[in-house]
Amino acid sequence: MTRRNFLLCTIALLLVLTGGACRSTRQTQYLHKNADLGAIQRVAVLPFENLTTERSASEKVQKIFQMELLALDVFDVAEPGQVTKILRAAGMTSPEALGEKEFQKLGQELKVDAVFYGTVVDFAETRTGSTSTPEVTIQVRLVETQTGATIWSTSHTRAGAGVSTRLFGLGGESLTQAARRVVRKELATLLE
Amino acid sequence: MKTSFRLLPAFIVALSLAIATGAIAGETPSIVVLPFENVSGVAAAPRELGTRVAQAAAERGWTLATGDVEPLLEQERVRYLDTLEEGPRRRILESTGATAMLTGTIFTFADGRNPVVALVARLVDADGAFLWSQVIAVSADDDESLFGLRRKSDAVGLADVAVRALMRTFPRPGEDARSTRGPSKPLLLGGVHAYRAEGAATGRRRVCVLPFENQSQAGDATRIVHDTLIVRLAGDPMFEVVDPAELRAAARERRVGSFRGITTPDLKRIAETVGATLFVQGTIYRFVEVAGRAGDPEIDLELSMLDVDSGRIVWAAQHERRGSDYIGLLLLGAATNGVALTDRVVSELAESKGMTAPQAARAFVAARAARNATVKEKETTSELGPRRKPGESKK
Repeated sequence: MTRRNFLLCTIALLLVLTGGACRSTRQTQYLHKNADLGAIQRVAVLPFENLTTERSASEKVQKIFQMELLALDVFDVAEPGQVTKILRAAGMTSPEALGEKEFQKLGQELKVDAVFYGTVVDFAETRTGSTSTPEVTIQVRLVETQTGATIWSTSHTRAGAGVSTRLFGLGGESLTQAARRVVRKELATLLE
Repeated sequence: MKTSFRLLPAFIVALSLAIATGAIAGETPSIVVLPFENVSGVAAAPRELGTRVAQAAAERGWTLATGDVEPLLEQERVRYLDTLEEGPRRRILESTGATAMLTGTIFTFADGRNPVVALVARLVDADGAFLWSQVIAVSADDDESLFGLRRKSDAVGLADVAVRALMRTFPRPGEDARSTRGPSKPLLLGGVHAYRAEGAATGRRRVCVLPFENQSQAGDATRIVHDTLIVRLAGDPMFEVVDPAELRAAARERRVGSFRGITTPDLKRIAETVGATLFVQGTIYRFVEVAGRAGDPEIDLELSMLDVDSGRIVWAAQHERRGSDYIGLLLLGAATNGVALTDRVVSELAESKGMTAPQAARAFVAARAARNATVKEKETTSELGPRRKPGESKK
């Protein structure tokens, strides 16, 4: 085998290995055609729903989302304790069950223009051989309290291991790190 | 007149002697050492550690208040020994003639393959101000020298080492306590993910640390995290930490039954009583303790600091680590037990800076400001008329 052929074979092999080792991400997104995000100054983050077997997943993801939202410094965020108090007083158990009137009432009591809430669909570690990799899927939506209309929603999945983790067992990320990356990607689409 | 002047030198000598012997009431630098609170479950731990701590304080120049303090604690119906409410504290100090009170909580006193001793201690004055506090966790693995020499085989053997490390920063009478800054983050790993509100840090402020919600399997996790956070925040010149006993008393006075799920209005009422508007609360998601056995401790927690005056979160952080994350050169430096790991993680949290908003966020804010300025301008020049609410028709 000539030197050139050897080099080409090596590059091809590396491409096959890294191609098969890539982390997968999937994202879907919706933005209302009349959405005016510039009109939104103050928002609240409602409790996230949990479709996973990990008990603390929804609370954890909600707190990560809240922190990332605060760090953007784009919206004024209603204090979580106030949100909890008002939801409890109104007997609101799930944001999915809220209608237009409930959103309007929420908006008036919290003095917010819109609310974020979401669903944690996947939050688990899967084993592939000796490697443990996180799989996280989070759906988030932004609802205008005046109309109860969803003006933005997104769903993002992050699963699998990166190249260095697959090949060398290095640099794996935890579920929390994966969730944080998902949330950042989702908020980035909001700002586009 | 001549007689008075002859007596003057004698008077000066007598006065100096009185000062030197501390005979002038209220100026004797003495401390009363309360029995240590014991979360470790080992009955001998308070005796082993309390005695050594008292001795170490005496070696640093403090006079120990004599007499048994247990009857006083019973008389005052003291339930919690970590810190005392103002009334019992002042009365005990007065009864014992002490100027400060030394309390402690023993978290771990474990034998086994890798014995561990972990405790926190605090020195408070009559007003409840923290004069000094420190948390320490020492294991046999941490203490052994080269080739495993001088390795302590049990927790009693480690007690001297732990107390020496604990009292290293203990102040001498009249001295300010040295800063009890905690360990720093591992060299090659990322830091804490945190948010800090701009303009939030303006001068020293009083802060209350609420008990954390515990979603881990370790029942002691709340106490360990809570007490360690208080020590590290108390070492921060920006914060004056409210004595936990004072916080408990305020909650009782304001008829707040539990800190669990406490609402903002309840926090505001407590804030009025304790004179603090900052409250730290959080959740422990995972806490794995391996004291006395092989394994890697783990911790995963989040916290936030709320300013009840403005209703804003001024600090939020989330962090997770394993003990082995701190391994450095020659495979040394790992945190070998839950308390040591908690101290490192809490120290990293306490020193965390906030995240910087990404460029996209700054651009969004700028675009929104420009958009709102344009809308306002058009409204004032009557191009659009008054702004309609969504769904409202033009009149």
